[in-house]
Amino acid sequence: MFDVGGKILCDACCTREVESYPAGDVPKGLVQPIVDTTVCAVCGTDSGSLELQSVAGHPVCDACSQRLLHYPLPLWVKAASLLVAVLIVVSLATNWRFFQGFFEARSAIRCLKSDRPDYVKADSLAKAAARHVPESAAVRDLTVTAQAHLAYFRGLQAADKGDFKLAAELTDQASQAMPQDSALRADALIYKGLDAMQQDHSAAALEFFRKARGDSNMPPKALDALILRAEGGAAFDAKDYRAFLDKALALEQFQGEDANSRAQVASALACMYAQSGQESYRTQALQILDALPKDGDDPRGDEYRQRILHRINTRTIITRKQYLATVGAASQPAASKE
Amino acid sequence: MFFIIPGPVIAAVTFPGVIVHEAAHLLFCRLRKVAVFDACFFRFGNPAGYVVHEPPKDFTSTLLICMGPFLLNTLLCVAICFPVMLPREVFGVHNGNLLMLWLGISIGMHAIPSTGDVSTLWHEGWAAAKRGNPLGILSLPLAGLIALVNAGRIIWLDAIYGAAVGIGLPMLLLNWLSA
Repeated sequence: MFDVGGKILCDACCTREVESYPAGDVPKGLVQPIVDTTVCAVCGTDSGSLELQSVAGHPVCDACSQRLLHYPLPLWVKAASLLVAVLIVVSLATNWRFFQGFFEARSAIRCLKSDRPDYVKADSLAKAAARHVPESAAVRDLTVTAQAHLAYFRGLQAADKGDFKLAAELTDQASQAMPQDSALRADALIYKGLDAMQQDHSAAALEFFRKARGDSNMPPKALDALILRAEGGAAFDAKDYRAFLDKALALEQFQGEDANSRAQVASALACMYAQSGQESYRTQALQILDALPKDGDDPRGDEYRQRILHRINTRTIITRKQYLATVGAASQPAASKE
Repeated sequence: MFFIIPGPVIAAVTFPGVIVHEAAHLLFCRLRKVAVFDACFFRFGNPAGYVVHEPPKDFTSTLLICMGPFLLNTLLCVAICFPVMLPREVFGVHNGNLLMLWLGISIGMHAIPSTGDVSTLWHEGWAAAKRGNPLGILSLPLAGLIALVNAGRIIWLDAIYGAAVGIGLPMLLLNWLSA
């Protein structure tokens, strides 16, 4: 029903009334809809005398109001939403190993780059990442790097314990895993040299030290000292005792008041005395030995002292192996583990 | 160089985004108890979808209904694209999840509120700002920005946004996490 200029008209009569005006000459506000607030504007249900609630200016019954306020999602939209949700879950599930691999690799890198690196943890995390993402070349590289770092770290531990053979093997493994790291290769050579020195193969040690020059993580001065020591050893092996003494003196000058280098000078002087019989060499050697600190906790140092004394007393120059097999074994069975 | 493709064609190719956009409007209407008279989630035409609802009683509802698609489409775009981008970006593993990437970017593309949404946000925001509503004041520059982005649809800004959220954001996040 409509109020048309004060007349109450139905839909059809209202249209006729409006059409009776010349086109474009219909007064503004002529037609006003008459809203029955007891009839639902959506479903048309008449609630009798009960006034309905207004939704957006229209009377609406409770059922229609609920429907408008909870407009239903069509079934196909619900199905599509479910499909998207399933796709997300499946995508997450199938790619979950990449998330695991990513966080493991990230933690492994952090362990390696930390100020206090944890190589054992880095290695295990990198291996776990490689298990989750075996097709990734980057993760494979990380695993190799972590393994190499761990081998290098264990090599350092072995070297600290004086096991240079194991240190050399482990550092060599690390170097082979990371061939681009020349410092690692050089360190492996140094450990090989130290192992050779332990085996009294000074000439071989000298070769290793010389090859390591320029690339090693070791301070150049420390490597130069090792080279001097190996040169001295090689001269001793070649029975060139003059050269042995020169190298020992050079080492002493290079290292200052170092007990080891002073002992090597004493050893070289003892050799010179044994070879030439000149008393001055003997006196100097004994003076040095007397001045050296006597450390009861250093069996190898004590053994070295005994060997020098044996050389002075007998005027015979024998190698450490020979000494241990004869004199050392009889007098000091506990002095050496070799 | 940009080339123009008719809007209905873009809407058809990226129809999941249209559906999510309209569903977001509807969900926020229901959440804010705003009566909905009609809704179309997808059709071949302009607009590709719509939700007809009563004028909200407060500005917060207006803001949420207008910005709902932005929130939901963006969130879904990230949720769908991130698991696909991780293997590609970090491990270089292309595991053929292009369908998911299309779905994610399609949804992300339709995150930007339409011109109708911006117009409502602008007028209601202006009225709310006049009443001293801080949300109304904040919504005005937002409406301006969205209007600009809407104008930028001609140069594919909506697609750029979808790609930025679906591809750029995961890359950025993963690079940041990897650093």
